[in-house]
Amino acid sequence: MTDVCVIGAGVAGALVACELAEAGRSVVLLDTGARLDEAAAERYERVRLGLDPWEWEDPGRDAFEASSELAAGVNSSRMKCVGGTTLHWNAYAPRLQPADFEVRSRFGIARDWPVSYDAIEPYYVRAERELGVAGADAPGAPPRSAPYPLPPHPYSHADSAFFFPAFDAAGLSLATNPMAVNSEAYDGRSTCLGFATCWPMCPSRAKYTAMVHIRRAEATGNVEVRAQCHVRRLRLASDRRVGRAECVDAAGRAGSIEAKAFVLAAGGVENARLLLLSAADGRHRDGLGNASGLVGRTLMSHTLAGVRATLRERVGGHRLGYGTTLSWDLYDHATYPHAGNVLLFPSDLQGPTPAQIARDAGSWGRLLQERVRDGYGYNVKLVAEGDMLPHADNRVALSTTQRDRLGDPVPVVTLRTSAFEEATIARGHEVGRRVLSHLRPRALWTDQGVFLAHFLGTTAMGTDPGAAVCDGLGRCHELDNLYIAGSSLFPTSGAAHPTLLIAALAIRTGEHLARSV
Amino acid sequence: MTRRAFLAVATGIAGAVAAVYALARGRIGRNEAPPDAAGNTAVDGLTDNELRALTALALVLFPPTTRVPGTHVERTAEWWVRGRVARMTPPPPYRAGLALLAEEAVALQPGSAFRELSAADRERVVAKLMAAHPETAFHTTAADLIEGLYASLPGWRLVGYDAGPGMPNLPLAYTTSPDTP
Repeated sequence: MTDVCVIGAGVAGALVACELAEAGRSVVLLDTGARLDEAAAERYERVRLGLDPWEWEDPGRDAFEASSELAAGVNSSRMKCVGGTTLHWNAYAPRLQPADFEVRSRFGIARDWPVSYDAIEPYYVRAERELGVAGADAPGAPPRSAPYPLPPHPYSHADSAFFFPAFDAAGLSLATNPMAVNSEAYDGRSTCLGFATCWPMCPSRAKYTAMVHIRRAEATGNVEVRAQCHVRRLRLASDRRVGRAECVDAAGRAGSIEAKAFVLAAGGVENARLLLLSAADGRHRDGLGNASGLVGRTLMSHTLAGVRATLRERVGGHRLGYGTTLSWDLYDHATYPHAGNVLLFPSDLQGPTPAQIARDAGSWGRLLQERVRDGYGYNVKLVAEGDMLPHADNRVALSTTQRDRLGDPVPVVTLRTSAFEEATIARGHEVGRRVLSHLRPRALWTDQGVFLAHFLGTTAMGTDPGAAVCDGLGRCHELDNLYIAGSSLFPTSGAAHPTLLIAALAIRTGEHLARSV
Repeated sequence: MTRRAFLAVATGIAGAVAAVYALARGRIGRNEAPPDAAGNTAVDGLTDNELRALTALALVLFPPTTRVPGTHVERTAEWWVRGRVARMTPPPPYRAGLALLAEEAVALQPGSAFRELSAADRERVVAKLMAAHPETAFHTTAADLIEGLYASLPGWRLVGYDAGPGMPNLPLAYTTSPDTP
């Protein structure tokens, strides 16, 4: 019998599978989506020709229902394929702060993680090494026990000439932006060559994608990857053990996979959905592992508060696909419990490109050339990423009206902000205006939203089985052989992009399973 | 890495990409039908004459500059239209747009193809077609070409860069002022 069946081949599933495979365990790694070559020449050519390089969405497979305005863009970023959303992610890899793991104890709101930052920290170090994160320590940054595996990317002209002086004038500091993009050749992959197309794809493979670990896992000979293998249900062998995963392949043939253990790594929406779809008798009547009633509940993302400006000098943007700085200064829990933290990201990837100016100008020839030359290159943005609280009514549930191509209820996603998030957004706007005003912009305006690629908290970890779905290793409280990997485990959101923590937790779960299965 | 070494690596990669692309195109449906009665060959659905007309149009929409010679504009335009026709369903209405262009060229100078007109007459033809209402297939063709030219090297070189998104750049180009000579 296969040792472990991993459901979902994104970064979480890939790292769990790789950890298991390198320890000699047999793994079947399933993904509902196809296997794509993330750096294929044809895909790159499509990017250059202004065409979509990815098959983003399959309406029959990816259908969902949004019961709130913020949830309407669920499919705008997530990619269901081998490698998952990392195939097109922007590779930002900051850590959460230690206090994010003790929010209840320290501030009387939200909840605590069942593990401390100190317990996770060695896995953060490993995750940075596995993904190849380039960065440097800085005051205010989360504490670390080892240096980054790669040196930081040099600061951009926009950072050196504009953002550093503006932050300094506002009494704030900037640090390097930790990126899972090679700043030198690493792990058999190229250094960044400045294609500046990180989103949607990196032609040089300098940017980490989960395909790195998919290929490494396969190279052990212990992993079988099955693309376009959609798991519809998990079926119990006994009250406390999952026995098999029922699935459908690309040709529509039904099958099942038995294993000693199962790892659910299908993302914050689909992890919850599969558990709910797999409801069984007794304690699992409201969903597998859902005696707490929390499967699907406490969905979180991150808020985005943007301040944009048109400056008086050209900033030299669009020559790199990511920002090279961030500021930890306001990621300090100083405004808890009333407002959240903000992690500030300056960006010179703003404003219309020459093609966008040309498209909107309504002219041609020399006149258009003049307009493009005069209009291009003056825009910047300061993005404040903020926490969200784990509200029970923000959730993933099963639709009672819509079904997918196989006849299963689609997920219903509800995501709304509360006073805490609105105050966090306001904090981000205030500091953004304050910083950018030092650049004497010609124009200044704001926008806001949520990170539609981050789906957190729908199968949260915790020590109390009555108040959490999983324990500190991601094992479902009510099931001895079902583990969960990914951001659905997060009891709190923090104010940092989740991927690095997803990776750290996946390595930890994989290491545990390799010893215990 | 030195600048020379970087350029060697980047050129090698670009060359490899181009070579792979050329090979791939040979296997993914390059439409090379036998020549027609007028001796035109159709490549990716466009005849030689149509491609030449499109590149001539491109030179009017994006006149050569000191940083962007006419040959760059022509090569970019040809690459763009071939690539779009090969991949888009339906492709942009180049043929219909060119028919309108040809009609105006003949009206201005009987018997002349657009590319045979003087530079000034080509501008007159394009200006007349662009001013027409409602919008026609020519507007769509012109807008598509403009997008391709400004999204590619000609557009980025116009604003002072040596490369743009989608092209390998010098390792530290982004750290320098955009106005560095």
